[in-house]
Amino acid sequence: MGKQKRNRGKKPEARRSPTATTTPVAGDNTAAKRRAVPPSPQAPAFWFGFEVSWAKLVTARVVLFGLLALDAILAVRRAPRYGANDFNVANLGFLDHLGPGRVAYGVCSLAIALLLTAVALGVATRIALPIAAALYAWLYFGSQLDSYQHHYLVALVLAIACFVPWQRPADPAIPVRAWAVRLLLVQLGIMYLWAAISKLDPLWLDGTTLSSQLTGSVRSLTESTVGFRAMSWLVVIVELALAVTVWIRPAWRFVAPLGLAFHLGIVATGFEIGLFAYVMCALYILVVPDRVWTALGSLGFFERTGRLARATMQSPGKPAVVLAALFAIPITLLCRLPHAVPLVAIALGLAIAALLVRLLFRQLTKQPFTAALPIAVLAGALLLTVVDRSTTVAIDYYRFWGGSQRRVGDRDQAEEAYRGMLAIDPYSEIAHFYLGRILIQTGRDAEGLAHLHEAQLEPHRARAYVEEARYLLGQGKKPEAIAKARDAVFADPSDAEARAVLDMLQGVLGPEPQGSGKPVKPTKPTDDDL
Amino acid sequence: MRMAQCTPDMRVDGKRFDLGTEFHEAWIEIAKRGRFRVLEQMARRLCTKHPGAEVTLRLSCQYLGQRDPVVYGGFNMCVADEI
Repeated sequence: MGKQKRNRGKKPEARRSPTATTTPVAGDNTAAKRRAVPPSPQAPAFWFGFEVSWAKLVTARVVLFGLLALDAILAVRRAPRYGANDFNVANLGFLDHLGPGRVAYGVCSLAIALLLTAVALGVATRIALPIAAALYAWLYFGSQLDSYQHHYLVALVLAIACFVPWQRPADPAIPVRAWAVRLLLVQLGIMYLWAAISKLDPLWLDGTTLSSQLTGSVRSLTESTVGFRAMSWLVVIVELALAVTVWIRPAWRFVAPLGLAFHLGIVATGFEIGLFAYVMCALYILVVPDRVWTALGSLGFFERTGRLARATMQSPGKPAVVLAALFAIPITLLCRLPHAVPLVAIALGLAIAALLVRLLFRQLTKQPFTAALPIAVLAGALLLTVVDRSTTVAIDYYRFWGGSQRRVGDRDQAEEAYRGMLAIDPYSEIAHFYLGRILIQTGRDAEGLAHLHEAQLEPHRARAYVEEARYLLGQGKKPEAIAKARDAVFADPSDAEARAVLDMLQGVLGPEPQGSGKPVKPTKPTDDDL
Repeated sequence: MRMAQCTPDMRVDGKRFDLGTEFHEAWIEIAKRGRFRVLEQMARRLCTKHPGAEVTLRLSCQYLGQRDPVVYGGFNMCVADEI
């Protein structure tokens, strides 16, 4: 108890409930009863007396889960590598045959994005978050393909986050007691400690490892200032300092700028870790002192935005539900990501079913009828569509799928992938070129040539001309083949292959080994595939 | 940290096997980082696909800060399936 009192005395920035063990949730009729339950004197104050302001919690919720939702959508481009040629190695041996395949990875990534969008908006957090955490853990423990340490950390963060009371309390001015937030911070401390321990190696400490990792401006900056050796030591010292202090509230005012600078530095290095460096920055919302978020929350803009968001989510009328339901599917139809439409339709169906149950058994569930669920689905659909339309994720998905299947010799799947790519990017030189090759290889010459001609519309690219020249040669049409080879050299005079084919056809060199008109399947990936 | 750069040499009955024709490039990249279990599973897959054949794996890894590469394997993975 003494510890609890001391702990409370150090947080003057907000009013707090004198007895609350569970923060009441808005709209929860049992909240008032729960509020009256006194804290157990045996409960360790370090964990169960840990309180954070609602302003901090809601900021962390929106930013952290919003970022993770975005990351999940961007991950869809990696789906084709999963289950390619039925090969998988899991992190745990027994999961080898239970790992995700291409479709499962793509669908689960989008499902995680939809679920985490709902969580970011504070909707169905107690259901959506555990499901998202379980799916995420399965994707990254079920295969070693993308098994970098940061995925394990995110899986752990999601698991712990399931126990954080993310929903708005009845009185937002009262700090929220959340042992899970303390656990998250302790987990961060453990991560920093382990990161520092793993670097206590002569190769790290003498700067060798860092000098092999850093590139670009951060490398130049390091070289021209402290050097790699000093920077390596600095990294270890910072990680040890963060390990010791990140979970201690009085140290936050010093830890927050240090940790944020550290992770922004990692962002600047350009390491290929997706949005993870930003996710780490988002976790620092929990480390920035509460009074900063309370002050920000009281600013006019944030207060008005919060009020508007609450009014929208909690709008009681059925018209809001109908409007959200009506717009979700048409918006998703603009999204080109595979499986997005059926997934949003299922999510919408579940949301409406939940609302119907709530409506029919209003007395039993004691839950207010609001448009929050369909609006969360609508927001998810909007996020999928905006991310798709502003990035190359969908195109990359089909390109990587076609490339991987082509390399392992699965022409049917490669054809399906390139046709899918053309459906969303009709002028793609890559799709026309490889589809044309596949069609010619499988005896559909006319259609294949038509695609090669489409590919030839791309300026300054010679390969579609070269391909047609080889085909014509295989057909015994040498003059036409020479004309095509000339076109190839004209399109890209620097293309060595075009020049070689033209030289061969004109008799400068000997005959080309593969002049059968059936191009040989390359086994090495090209820039088109990776 | 990717501190190992490995070169896997997989052979089926003495003939060099192009991993790219059987495994996704992402797996090959992981194998090149010296992930033994991935290479062992690759070899196991080839043993299944080529029954009776001798599948040998020779893995040469260059570790950061070490002058000489370390060589693993070199034996029939269908008989002893761990490097």
